Amino acid sequence: MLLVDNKPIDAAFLQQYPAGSIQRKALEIMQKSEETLRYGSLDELKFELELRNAIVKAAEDLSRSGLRFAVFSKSYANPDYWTRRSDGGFLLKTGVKASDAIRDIFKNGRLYGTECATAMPIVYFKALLDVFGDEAFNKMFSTIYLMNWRYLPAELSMTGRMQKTKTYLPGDRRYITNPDVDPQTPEWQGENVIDLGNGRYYGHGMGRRTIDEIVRALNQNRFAGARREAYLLDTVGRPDFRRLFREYQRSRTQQVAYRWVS
Amino acid sequence: MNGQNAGVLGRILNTRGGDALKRTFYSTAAKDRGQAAALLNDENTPYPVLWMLLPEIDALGLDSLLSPRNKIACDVTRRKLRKTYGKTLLAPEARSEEDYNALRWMFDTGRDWSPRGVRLELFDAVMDYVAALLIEKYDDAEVLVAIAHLVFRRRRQGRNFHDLVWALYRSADPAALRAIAEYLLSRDREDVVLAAQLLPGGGEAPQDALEAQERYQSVLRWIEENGPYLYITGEHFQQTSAPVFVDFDEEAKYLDKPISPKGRTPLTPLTDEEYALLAQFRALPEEERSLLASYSCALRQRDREAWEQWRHLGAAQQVMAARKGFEVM
Repeated sequence: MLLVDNKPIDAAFLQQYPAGSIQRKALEIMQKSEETLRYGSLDELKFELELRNAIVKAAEDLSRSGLRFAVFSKSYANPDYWTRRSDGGFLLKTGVKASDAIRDIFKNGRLYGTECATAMPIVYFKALLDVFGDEAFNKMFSTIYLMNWRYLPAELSMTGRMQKTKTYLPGDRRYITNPDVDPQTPEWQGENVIDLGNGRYYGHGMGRRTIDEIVRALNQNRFAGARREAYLLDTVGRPDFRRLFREYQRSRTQQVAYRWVS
Repeated sequence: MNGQNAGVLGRILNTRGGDALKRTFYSTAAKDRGQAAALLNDENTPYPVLWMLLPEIDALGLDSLLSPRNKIACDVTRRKLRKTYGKTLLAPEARSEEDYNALRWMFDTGRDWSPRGVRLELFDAVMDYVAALLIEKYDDAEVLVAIAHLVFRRRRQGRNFHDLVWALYRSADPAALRAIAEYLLSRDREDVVLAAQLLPGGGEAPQDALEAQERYQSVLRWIEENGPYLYITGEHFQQTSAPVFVDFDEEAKYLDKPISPKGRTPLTPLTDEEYALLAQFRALPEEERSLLASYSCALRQRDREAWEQWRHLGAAQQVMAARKGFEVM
């Protein structure tokens, strides 16, 4: 059940989103959910829907960007924007705008190679960039370190934490674990994916696949004699939409105030 | 890598560096291939020598002259570096003492060594692989503490340690957890942060020395209390920012039934009586199951006879006795 200010939403709200859009799909799942999903205002709900849509779009775009798969010991990045560190992560170069550096990954994907756990934060950063705009985004992120879930800024820290849910929505991060992975290839220990809302999931190195296809690929990288198959965990990773909504409101207010002053 | 006992080639690598080693080896091989191979096969030669000379071994076609130890080490290294997917040579069902000894030699003589430049990361990746094989395939508990220390050394040097942590947590050995817990007392704040993330108990790093000491003692008590019931969760940094690497099994703790960390299954079959106890335990709400698991453990450590009597009570009576019992404890 979906409640906004403790009331169900009216049909007109739903109709504003075209059938088949990510926002509409998410709303329909929320309304049918056995959980009670509460929002303080329609603006807050709209913000989450927009950000979910942006996450899905960023995942789709990243899958088409030419970004390659490389293990951390062989990772690489465009040196115009990023400094590759010896643990395989990418640090935003001093004097470079975060917005330009994130956009470059999507524009010049072939100049980048990394693991799936790095690709997921890239998706989130791009989605935030699209929703917040350059000015607010660059204020939020004066520095960025792209590696895996251990290195997330406070604004995205919740994306790294998996939580139990009964309501799976487009834009959610899921994880397919491979408990019997071959120690020779620990990069196949599991796959981080974004739910694209159409039965397919984006996982870096795999592209846009069904869960069954990803499970099959992971199973092929188990040690000889393995007994356990790879499987999808029932948990999800999500941004702290409420916190980001507050940030968003603040950034809009600041921009308006700035225009009034200038 | 011990300089004194490192063999001729190891001493050259230690004192004159990689380029000098390559030159010496090449000129020796040009005169006498057997002599060059013999230097490599010297039992005191450390693995980093083989690592450095792998391109020369390939170029000179010396494989057939290598000792079994060196052949295995070369194969493991090539597999990791060249990403030859497919069936591993070291399949788990084919345990061999020769393979194990070669892996231990690679780890023992290689773990403290650091090549320069990008080769460092590739070397670390091979060490990660060797560590994972020793733990996963050979259940080698002897290397766990050394691996725990290596994780922190790599962190200090800005090197990648995530696959090493993954390898380490293919086991749930209390000795490794204790070794990590020592870093809660480190003066290096980043060590403390990492130790807190790697250990059970929430991931938040202690803020000062007093809090660190309390957390350290609390972790040691946790390990002592839950050691026989630990299992590997499979979580890691590739999956989540707050992985719980190992946890304890409440049912095992309640029954006092040690489990296998990998399979989370009892080491000995359950008796009919234990099945019955488990059935009533599983019917309880989550909060009461936690209470009984903790109380069961506390009571049997304090008074085994009283525990035997308590476990034969009905579930509701067990819960009441546990609530009262904890008040007294």
